[in-house]
Amino acid sequence: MKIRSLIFIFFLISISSALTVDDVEKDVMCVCGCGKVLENCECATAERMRKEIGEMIAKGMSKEEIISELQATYGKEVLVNPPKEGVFLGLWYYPVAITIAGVSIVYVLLKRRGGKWYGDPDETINVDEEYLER
Amino acid sequence: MNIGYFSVFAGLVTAAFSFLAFYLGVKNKNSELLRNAERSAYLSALFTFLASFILIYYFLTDNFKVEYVASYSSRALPAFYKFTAFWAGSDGSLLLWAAILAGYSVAFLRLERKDALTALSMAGIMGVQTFFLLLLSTVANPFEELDFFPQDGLGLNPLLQTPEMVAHPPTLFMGYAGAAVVFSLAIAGVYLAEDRWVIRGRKWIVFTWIWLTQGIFWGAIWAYKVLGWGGYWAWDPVENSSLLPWLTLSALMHSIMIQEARRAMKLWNILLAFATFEFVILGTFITRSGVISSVHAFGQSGLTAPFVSFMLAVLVLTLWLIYEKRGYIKSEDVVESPVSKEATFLFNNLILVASAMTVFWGTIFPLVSEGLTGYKVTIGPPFYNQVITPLAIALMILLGLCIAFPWRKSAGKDLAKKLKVPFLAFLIALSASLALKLKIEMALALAIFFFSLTTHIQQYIQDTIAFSSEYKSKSYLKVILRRRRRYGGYTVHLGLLLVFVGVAGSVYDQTFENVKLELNQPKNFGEYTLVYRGLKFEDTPLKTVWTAQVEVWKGDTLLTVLTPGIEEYKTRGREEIRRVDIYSEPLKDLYLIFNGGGKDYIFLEVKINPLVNLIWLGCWIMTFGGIFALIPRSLVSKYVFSERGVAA
Repeated sequence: MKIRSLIFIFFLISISSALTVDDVEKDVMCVCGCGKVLENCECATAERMRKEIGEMIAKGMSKEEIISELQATYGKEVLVNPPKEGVFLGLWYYPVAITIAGVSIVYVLLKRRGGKWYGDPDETINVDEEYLER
Repeated sequence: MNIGYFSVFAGLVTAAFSFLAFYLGVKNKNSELLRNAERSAYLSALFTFLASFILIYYFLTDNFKVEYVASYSSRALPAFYKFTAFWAGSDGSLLLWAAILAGYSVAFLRLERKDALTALSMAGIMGVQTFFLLLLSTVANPFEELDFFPQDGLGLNPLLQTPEMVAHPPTLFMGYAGAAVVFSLAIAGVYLAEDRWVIRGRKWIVFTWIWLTQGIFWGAIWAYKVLGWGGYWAWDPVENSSLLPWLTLSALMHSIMIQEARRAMKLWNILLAFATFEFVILGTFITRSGVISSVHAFGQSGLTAPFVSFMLAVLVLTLWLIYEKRGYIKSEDVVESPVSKEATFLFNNLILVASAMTVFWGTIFPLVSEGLTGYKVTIGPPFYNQVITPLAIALMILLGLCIAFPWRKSAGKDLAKKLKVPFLAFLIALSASLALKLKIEMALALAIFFFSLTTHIQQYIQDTIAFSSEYKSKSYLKVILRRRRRYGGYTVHLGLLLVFVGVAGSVYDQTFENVKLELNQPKNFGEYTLVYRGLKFEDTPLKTVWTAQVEVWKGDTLLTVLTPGIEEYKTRGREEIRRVDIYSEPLKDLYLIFNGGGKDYIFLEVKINPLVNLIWLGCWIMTFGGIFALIPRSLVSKYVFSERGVAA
């Protein structure tokens, strides 16, 4: 009974996660040179690529295998994002590094405190510039 | 010599003279030189306007002897689009840039007081103008003539023959050129070691920001209604380059208030003005050079060297000035207490600048990868969605929090009291969204939206009552007008919140399907029923159009007849584009893309885009908020103040 249930669940998961062209085309670029993600391009090249992807899905290839095959055919330029490896890791680490650096600077500024106050910015716009500039 | 080219050249000579004369006039305190510099600036603007009018005239009279006109116009093109073809290509759009900057230079001279700060700022503006006119008279000459007179022109790119694309470049360039004014004021202020630049800069910063917002809005609505892929933002390099200066300028708009109030963040503000200007030049460069492949780029490689040199020169000048004036730049402390508006501004600047630096990194990464590995990678939407989403969420939460913080310092207790109702709104919105079975991302976005919206409404009411009592004025209108900077800002925040929830809706709640519609056979899509009623064909000298007639029903009510189409243009290599058609309800769009077919059936891509209208509404509210904050003192002083400088 347990085995039957497991097979049934596996079958359900397989149905719900059946690979479609839509799943793949959002992760690859159209290679016609338009600079669009495949899912957003309607040119003849895009149609040809979709057909290729459809054929690979029909062969039972996984998403990773299809993307790898497309990469072998068209080069790494076909990927919507570069792989998370080697020098390309910099792409992903950079925003984290920038945010950490920013938070550190803000922390230092918040530690240094002073009470000097030259005027409410709401009100400065109501005062003559000549007066403010004195 | 072509009269248009002569005008550009004369504009260049006068701009270059004006630049030098303004600089030397300030340096040597020579008033005669400054007077000549001013006359020369007016003359340069006149020549630049003249060159623009001549180019428009060439377009309207089909002067195909001029290569630029032959490349972007045709006899069959409607007169209105002949006029807008002026900025359809790289050379013409650079002339538009220069013409708008010329307008700014005249406005700056007319509006600002005649002193050293104005003169030195004008030197900066005229320096930028010299650069653009130099490009126009050398590598980007829009008046280049052909050796023969073609019978007809190649025609205008069909994607540009839309009202949205008429509005997008001029509005964006109003923002771009405004950034040159802000930067010029900033470096003039540093050179003269004066804080006055932030007081004068405020109106130019807000004005520039309004136009950048409008430019981005028109670009997004064009992508949505014309490009026909159902979205409005694809994180394309050219789109990114319009967002970058908006982010840094938004940060500057907040941080100059700290310089005004506390004489702090001086270096930071200079860097933000610099970054905004550099991003503007980078955006102009990316769109025109095609250095990073983009659906929007014109592609003209001759511009790479001058643009890169100019950006480097601006960088060197800024760094040199910062080094030279390091004594003046030394700032005072930013905060008195971490529980204050100043502290929230620090976080707001952190998020905006981190977002800008991240988008910038993603935009230029293809070039970095080419340098390091030999090939250009593509950075698509997943990268940006992954890294920008947390920053956007943090910004929206901060938007709700910051408004509850007063200037200088606050007691934690008061703050907790203020946030009670908004927190309750957050919980109710989250529970209701989950009960309605919305996706968790959408539920969270709505909860944040209602949290921040509640803090804003609450603060509107509390501030107005408190200020009325402080000013001893019973008129709320007077209070709002007097504190227009604050209320304008609140309004901008409300607009941004609507944009945020609109983006969330269109990203997390969009549904789409490719359908085949048989003639007169109803097909259901969500709550709508679509019926295909036939194909219309139209042939004009400009294009051939196939339009599908699709009725949209809801229950027994016919809502509208949508007419998505395919247009084949007879110029520019028989280019074919899809014209989408949209049925808009307040909270959702039914979006149809015609993918071909015949008399008896058609293929349609049908999308339901929820909340997308909130994005457009939010952009208009942001613009209105900016304009409200910009109302000049002279306009309201008679009403708000009983006498100059004294509260009513």
